[in-house]
Amino acid sequence: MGELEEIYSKMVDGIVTGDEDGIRELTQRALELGATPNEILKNGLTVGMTKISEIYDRRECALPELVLAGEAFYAGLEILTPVIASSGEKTETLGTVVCGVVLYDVHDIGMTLVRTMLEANGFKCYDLGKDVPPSEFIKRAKEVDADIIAASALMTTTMPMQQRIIEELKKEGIRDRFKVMVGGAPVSRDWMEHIGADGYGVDAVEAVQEAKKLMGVV
Amino acid sequence: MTPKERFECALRHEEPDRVPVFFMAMAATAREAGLEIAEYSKDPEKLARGQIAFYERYKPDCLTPGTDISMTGSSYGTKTEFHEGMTLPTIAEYAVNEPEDWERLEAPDPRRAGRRGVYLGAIERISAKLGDEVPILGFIITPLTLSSWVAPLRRVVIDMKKNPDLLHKGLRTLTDSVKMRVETSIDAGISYFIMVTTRATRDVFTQEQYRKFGMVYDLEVLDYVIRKKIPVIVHLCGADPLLDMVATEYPIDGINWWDRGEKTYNLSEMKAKYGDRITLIGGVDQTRELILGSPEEVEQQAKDAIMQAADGGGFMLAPGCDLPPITPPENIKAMINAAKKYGKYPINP
Repeated sequence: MGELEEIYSKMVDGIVTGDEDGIRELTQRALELGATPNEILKNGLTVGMTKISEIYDRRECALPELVLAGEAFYAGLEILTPVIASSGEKTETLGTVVCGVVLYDVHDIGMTLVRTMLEANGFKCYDLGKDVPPSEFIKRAKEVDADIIAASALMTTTMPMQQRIIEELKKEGIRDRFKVMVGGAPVSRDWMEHIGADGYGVDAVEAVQEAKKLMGVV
Repeated sequence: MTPKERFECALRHEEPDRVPVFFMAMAATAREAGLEIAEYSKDPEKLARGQIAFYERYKPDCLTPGTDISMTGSSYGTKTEFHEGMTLPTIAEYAVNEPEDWERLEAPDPRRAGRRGVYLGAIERISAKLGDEVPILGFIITPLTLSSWVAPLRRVVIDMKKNPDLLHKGLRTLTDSVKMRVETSIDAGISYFIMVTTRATRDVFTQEQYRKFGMVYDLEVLDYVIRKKIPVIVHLCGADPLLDMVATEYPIDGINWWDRGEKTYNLSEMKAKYGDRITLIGGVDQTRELILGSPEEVEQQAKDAIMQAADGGGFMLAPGCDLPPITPPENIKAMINAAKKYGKYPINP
């Protein structure tokens, strides 16, 4: 096994165990050995995130491991981002997503995981954080020419805000311009259909599959 | 039978006159008294008015006074932001933000801290008016759940891995505090408890993690309550709840979970496994039929639930989580009517 292959293999383990410092070192070393940011993402960091999501899917780990894996992923990405910017290397994106937690809702851990998984799978994400008014989702989506608006609601009292986003898009006559995905603990596929959204994910892993479907890549 | 007799009978696994209807109705009751949630949440008299109005309109078989997580959090120093209309208050600032904050956490005054006085004052008022007729359930929030109301959940899950000793210190303080709150709830008129855990679900923690950071404290609190001979119902939130663990290892009288979820036991499976000793509470999907369905659909689902689990007693018809404030009133009525129509004992004569 070449040194780079060995680094990628260690990177996968580093993501799975949430080893932020280890990932920083490995990312740095991979760059020194001449790997491009895209290669490092594709062969190391993203493979690690896919592996942890498979482990989560089998319920052999839970939220603590997913969150730490996400932190480790971003530790690597932080090193790669300036390199990407200065090298002019084109990053391959599957689509652009504007995501956030709806107005009057401040439970953002799920949305953060969705963003991490989307980014690990090649989506470009603009995370608007929590307590985001419908108009802000739409404004940002127009600004960055998003493909998808992803809105999370963690309470039955805030679910209607997801509906409001769709209503406002319709009012502006731009409903067809964006796909709208919804998620959150009390949200179901039936609710998605009821409010006329386009996609739903029961968790971060399913959300990625759904986003890929909406982009026509699976 | 009065709601109280019906409720107690079902909790003893006996057959009452008909299936009782159980709602965890908190802020949803504000609208019954024509109140906005913010005013309902800040005033014991208004909170009581909402609960009493809800009871008078629907005649459910229990009441669960309360508002939302910010009310409990406020006792521990979280800052609440109130909103207009039927929007729940939100936590604007947590009490625990850094790992070291777990050590600084103190058990607050169980009578007055934050909006605790609003809660207890409402219980006293409701109890004075309806206490002989309808069971008034007090909330016990499990320490691990509570930890994620005083700190962001992200803080809790990271500390579980990186600073477990500090998190345990926080959980110790919260456990002691929960026991003190049990006492003041009883003083205010509570004679049944509903223990809420929003974290005993595999999408949040593994069973091993929950055992170590959740169950050990839950059992300590349960032991404390049981010594007082007070019945406890457990409510498990989440899509993939640790039902077997809780049903076999927790000394509880009843259990409520999202039985219509996709990754969990349905009522008849639970009835076969644990129905002889734990009262099952559920049957109506609060994420679909209750908020999106017609009254006829709610009635059909309620009927199905009764057929699955009511025979022999030990069953209450309920949604799988708290009553959403957006639930159409006719769907609430449909649940009550279904219990009267299909839930008369004996179920299968």
